[in-house]
Amino acid sequence: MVDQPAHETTASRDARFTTEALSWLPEITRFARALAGNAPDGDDLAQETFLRAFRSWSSYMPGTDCRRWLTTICRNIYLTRVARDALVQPVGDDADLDTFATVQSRQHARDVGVDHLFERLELGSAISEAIMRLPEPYRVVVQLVDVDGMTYDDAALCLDLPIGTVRSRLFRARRLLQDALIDHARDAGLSTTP
Amino acid sequence: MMSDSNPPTEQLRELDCRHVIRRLWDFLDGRVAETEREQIVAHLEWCHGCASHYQFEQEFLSAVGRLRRDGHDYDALRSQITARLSTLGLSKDD
Repeated sequence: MVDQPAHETTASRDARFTTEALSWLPEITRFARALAGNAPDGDDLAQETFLRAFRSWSSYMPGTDCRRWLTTICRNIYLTRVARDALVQPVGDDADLDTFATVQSRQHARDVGVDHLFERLELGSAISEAIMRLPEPYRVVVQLVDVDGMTYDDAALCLDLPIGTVRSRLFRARRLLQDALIDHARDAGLSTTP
Repeated sequence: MMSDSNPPTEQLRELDCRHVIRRLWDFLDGRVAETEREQIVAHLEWCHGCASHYQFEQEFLSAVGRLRRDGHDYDALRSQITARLSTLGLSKDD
């Protein structure tokens, strides 16, 4: 454990907080929104996260993973706001089934003429909205790993889940997301099939 | 499902399409061992069906990953948080 500098001034402490903690604001906000399922509640959760982090800054060990520390705080606040049972809702996680199911998803995409859907650059808002519509256990994993590039191991630590569960939820999330986006593309008339 | 007529090597025969599809996301996520990675790469070079599916999944993950550069303006939220923090003692001049 690295101790806080005993002689650290308030200004130095605040500068470290600004540099090390507040720099993660975009990532923590996106995670908070994924937890909350919408932007206003997510922003409120992110704000509470940084307030609590500042109050607890003396317990942060310099040199450790600040983003993970903040993510854990954020998740803990969220858990106190909702019943734990609501978060750990039973989900059917079968990574193999979900992986194979994407073959059908792609075939469906081809059938409706949107096989090259994901090459389109204007799809960002549709993807964001589709992520927000995923059930919470899936959207938080896809947000951490696929959007923000966190490793399975770090996501597992942040979410207090086994790595295998992160993997299976991620695969389910991807399949659900693909299906939603293919339907969106078809309904939006993005099909290339006459 | 092997969809090309080029004669496969013995190693590629052993690695069938079902296995490649099952492992595709692990492969894309960099979570397969080196030997298996090489086998999958070799298979994808030979099997157009799996290569096409690989490309589809890769484009999907790239599209999702682009959200990281979402262009969202966090300045307003940052100001709001900083203002609240200043009431807790965070100095503003850093």
